[in-house]
Amino acid sequence: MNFLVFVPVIALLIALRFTKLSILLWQFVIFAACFILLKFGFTKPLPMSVVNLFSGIIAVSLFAYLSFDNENFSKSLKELKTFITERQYALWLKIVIIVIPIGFGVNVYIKKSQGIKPPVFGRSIHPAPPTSTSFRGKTIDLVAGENPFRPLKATNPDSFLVHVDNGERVYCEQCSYCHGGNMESKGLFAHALDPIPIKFADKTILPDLQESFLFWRIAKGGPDLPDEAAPWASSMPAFEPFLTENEIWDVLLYMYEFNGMTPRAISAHAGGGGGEH
Amino acid sequence: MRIGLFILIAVVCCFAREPRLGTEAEREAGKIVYMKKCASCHGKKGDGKGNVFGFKPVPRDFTLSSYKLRSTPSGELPTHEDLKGAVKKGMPYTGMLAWPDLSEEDLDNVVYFLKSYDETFSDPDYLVDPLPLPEAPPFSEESAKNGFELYKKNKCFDCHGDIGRGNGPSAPTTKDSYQKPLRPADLTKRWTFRNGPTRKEMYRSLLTGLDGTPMASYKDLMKPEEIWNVVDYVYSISNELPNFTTLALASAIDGDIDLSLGDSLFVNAEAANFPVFGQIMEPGREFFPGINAVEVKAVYDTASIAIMLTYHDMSMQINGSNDPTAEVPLYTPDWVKPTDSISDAVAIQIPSKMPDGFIKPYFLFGDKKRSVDIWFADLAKKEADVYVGKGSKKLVKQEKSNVEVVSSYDDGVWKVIFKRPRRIEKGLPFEVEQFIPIALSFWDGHEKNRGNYRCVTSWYNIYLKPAKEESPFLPAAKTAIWVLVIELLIVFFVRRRSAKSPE
Repeated sequence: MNFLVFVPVIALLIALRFTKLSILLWQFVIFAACFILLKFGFTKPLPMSVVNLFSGIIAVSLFAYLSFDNENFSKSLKELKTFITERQYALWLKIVIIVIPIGFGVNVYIKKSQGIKPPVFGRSIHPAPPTSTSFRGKTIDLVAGENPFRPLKATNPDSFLVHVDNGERVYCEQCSYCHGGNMESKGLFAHALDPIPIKFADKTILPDLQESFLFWRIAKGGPDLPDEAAPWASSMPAFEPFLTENEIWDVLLYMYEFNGMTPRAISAHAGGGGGEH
Repeated sequence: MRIGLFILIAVVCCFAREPRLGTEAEREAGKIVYMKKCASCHGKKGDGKGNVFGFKPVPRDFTLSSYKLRSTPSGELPTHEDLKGAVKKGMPYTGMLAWPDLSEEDLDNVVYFLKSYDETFSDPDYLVDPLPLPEAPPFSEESAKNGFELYKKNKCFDCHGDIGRGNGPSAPTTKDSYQKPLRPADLTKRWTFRNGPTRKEMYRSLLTGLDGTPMASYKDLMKPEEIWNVVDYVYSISNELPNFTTLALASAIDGDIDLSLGDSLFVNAEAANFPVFGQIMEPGREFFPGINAVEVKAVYDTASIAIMLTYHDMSMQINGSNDPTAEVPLYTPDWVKPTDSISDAVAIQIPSKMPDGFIKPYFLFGDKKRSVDIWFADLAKKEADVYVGKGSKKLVKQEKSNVEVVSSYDDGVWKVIFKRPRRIEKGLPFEVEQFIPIALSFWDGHEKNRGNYRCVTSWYNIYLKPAKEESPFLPAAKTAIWVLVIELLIVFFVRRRSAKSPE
């Protein structure tokens, strides 16, 4: 957060609460303040698409607020009419009439002179999985399926560690080239992939997912993603030819243990690991 | 007072000579970090025999007292700080990651622990002082010029090539102390240097050498200022960053594209650099690609488009042949001997038709639903073949090829120019102002790359810039005028209505 921007803008908004302004101007100030917060308020700048999205939502909600109340609405219309027709505002009207087209023009000019940029496509990171999948001829339940070795953690810790160790081997041999040995997505090939590999060290990813969902993603990889997830925008291999079922469950144990995380419980969300981040 | 100071200095010096091995508790703490974060590659016994089978160079064996990154003379042990630095910074383009998030304490502990694998670390006789590592003097062209003479005099070209592209005569046969093939650094790509890309780090590499590799120490062969000369030469021929991008722009040219003009066709075209990585997604996995970057340039005329791929390759292989459909094993056994029967090859891949929306064919030779066209150039031949791909195992060679190719290899650099009519009967047309997906494949004959055992890129875009670039002023003025007109209309109507019905 950029406090140099945040503090004055919030102070202005608070001051606005105690000021009597024309409702139109009041709306304009709120919109401008929100825009400034979005655009300059964060040390890590938000992408312009996000800023535009939120600005749109704010504009719609301000309009909704205005039109919700008949009195407010007619009052603001009246203000607008006064501004356009009354002689005392003639100079201000002229300024507004000139400034707005200039603003639009400058915006177009800046956009056009930025050069050519390829389109960026959004994609859901955790697409909804099918209810079951077939792995080397065996059907795996993706809704209620659980890691068969996870219960060993409580019942037989020694055997559990053997599985985690095996998972470590699998991770190092198969996953580390992209996802990196430290699970920060900085493996040897990560820089050449588009989109970049997912970062397991991120606290918001593994704990939010079920192991059966991850099993599906590892077994089937990019090629089996549904169309809405832009299947070929993922370089994730399908590991079915390379790994056995047990090896996939083992590598999942290792990934969670390495990060000190636990998977999402099944009862909490029966629909699988779907949802977006 | 003065005597006290002397004693103090003496004591400090004595302590400095004492090996830094940490306390029992620190080593135990380091062991936990090591077992969690290092052992999977370097092995639980520190012998470099962890769970890796693809990494080249192989992980360090901590029992052998041989280290690449040191500030000490060649053959000596590294200092505590050297080891910490190597862990923290990692080594680019190897399996050794950077671990910047480890705390100073963890770094100290893990280094204390890994020293316990090697008795020589605890022997004070093996303790040496680091060599002086001065701050870099300012770069000068003069110094770089001297550097080039010294580069030749010291036979650097034998491994690194005449002008530093890592393609010297010995390059294909250099090995490390583990007797595994090791490619000499491509000195034009500073971002891949194991010791780091700064001039000071380059000086350190030359001064101390990289033990366990053919890179020797030049401490006794050159004076410090001469080493700085060589550093400046390497600096002058290299880029610090690869400047990777995702878009290649094709420029319009007047007249017809004449392939016999070669790369001079592209003098005014903008270069785009794409990263290249190993195909590890499907069987036939390539874990250590011989090619790590490619430069793409493109031009078009009214009838055709020409795309030039420029990339560094340690050795030219134009004996034998290559085939994108060749059968390859799931994994290629490690350290196969190079043969003369497999040639270098490259391919450009585009979708067979323009994708609707964002769904492209699979980047590895397409898929069942969406096919790709592959322009395949076996560099041992003078023509290109066209394949239609519906997956890596489903390539169909087309009877007629509408793609021409010319290629040349000069001092470590392949230049391959493809030319195709912009509009063909069956296939994606190259129209202006469209983002056309493009992906590339490379087969390094030296590594026996063939079939699916190859180097690849992700999907990128190629865009044909219109011949005349529109000034941004016109559309901006147009927008402004439209907005102005709408405003005036609003004002006009509001005023008229209020004039009609005064409240």
